[in-house]
Amino acid sequence: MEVFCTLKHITSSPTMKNSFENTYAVYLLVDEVLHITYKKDCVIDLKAAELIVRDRVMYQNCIEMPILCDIRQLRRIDKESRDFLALEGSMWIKAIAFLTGPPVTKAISSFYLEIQTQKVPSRSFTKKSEALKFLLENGMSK
Amino acid sequence: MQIEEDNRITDIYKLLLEMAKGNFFYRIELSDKNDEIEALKITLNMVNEEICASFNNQVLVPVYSNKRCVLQMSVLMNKDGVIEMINNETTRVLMRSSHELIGKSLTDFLSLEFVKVWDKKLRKLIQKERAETIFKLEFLALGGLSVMADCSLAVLKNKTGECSKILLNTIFFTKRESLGSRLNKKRKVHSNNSKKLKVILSPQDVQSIVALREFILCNLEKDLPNLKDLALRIGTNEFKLKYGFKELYGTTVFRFLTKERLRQAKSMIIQSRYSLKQIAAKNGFKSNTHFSRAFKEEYGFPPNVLRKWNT
Repeated sequence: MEVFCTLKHITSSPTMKNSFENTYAVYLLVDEVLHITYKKDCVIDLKAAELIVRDRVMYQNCIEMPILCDIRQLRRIDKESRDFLALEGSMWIKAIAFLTGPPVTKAISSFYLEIQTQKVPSRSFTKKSEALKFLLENGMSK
Repeated sequence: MQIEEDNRITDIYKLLLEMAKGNFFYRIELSDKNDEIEALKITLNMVNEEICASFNNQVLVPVYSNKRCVLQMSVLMNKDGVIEMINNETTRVLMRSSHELIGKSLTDFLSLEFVKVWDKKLRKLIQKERAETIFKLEFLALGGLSVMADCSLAVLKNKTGECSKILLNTIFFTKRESLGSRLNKKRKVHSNNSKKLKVILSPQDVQSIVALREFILCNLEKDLPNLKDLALRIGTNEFKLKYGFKELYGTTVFRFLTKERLRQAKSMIIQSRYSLKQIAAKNGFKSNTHFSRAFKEEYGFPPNVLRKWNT
């Protein structure tokens, strides 16, 4: 499919570590948590958001996962994308933790979490360890 | 350094003034800085986006003096994208006089990021036989403000089928009354005795309805009770819920539920391997036939066609 053509495998192994990237983000699976790191200065519009979700869903292969979303390099995301990511974009997600870098991306994530309807447990953190702890408590298989 | 900071704060004041006038379509240009001023600029831009969307969907919490007006920006260009004619609203939105705009290339008033988009789209469009399209552009208004809008672009052709002129149109919603509406106001006054049922909502009613919308979005698979019971559960009455929901979200509770169920079902068709029957059941549709019919009505094609496109 055309939309998946941007997928570029960096490593691929049968073990828990597996990663790939597209134009907007790098995806890395570590200990059952999918780490998604947005690339530097990326601007997210609806087309980009759809691609990010499609690539994630294809990678997850219909398995629900906790997501650690590192948005520290993100600079712009429009309303259409925010709405899409919060609703249609929340499929196959057990819980999501945003890793932010104050003040800009903390402001973006606070706004997103406050205004957009969240269908899964969602919170933002400035420390990765706390974000992972949240995912462990809210999004791991029991 | 201090001057730069002062300029950024001036931009914020300008945006706030435009917001106070009801012009929520302006945005502040962002930089790659990571400081409190930049965070404030980003938040203000996002606030404006949310308010703008409310205007577009008629989802305004009722404020009695609100007037929703439409501003239309029309720009006629030659085939190279040089502006030849504009309407009054264009000068108002871009905060520039017609002398500053006419004779210049449209790209002079686009943000850098969108200059490339414009060049690419224009080149493609001129070559096409059916030369009309809609896409996003970001215009630069005077003094650090920008305006993002969906624009319709048409290539006007002459008798021999060659591109002769380019027409760009876009609309914005504003609270300020346009000149046309001011002129027509007197004429309308006698015929405008509103017969529309207007519901007065208390802040608690608004909160309850907003919470109900959130509940629906997070529980799409669940059926809702009838309107009377639903109103009781959220602590309001049937009348307020019925007309209040419509006032806030522009649709009825049950139509909203169906629309959101279909939206989720569409995502599931694309993103999952569930059968259509499973997707119908997971989204609260009683039968496959009902699901298929509702889906086709909403999107113009049945769910099995979408599934085929995505396999």
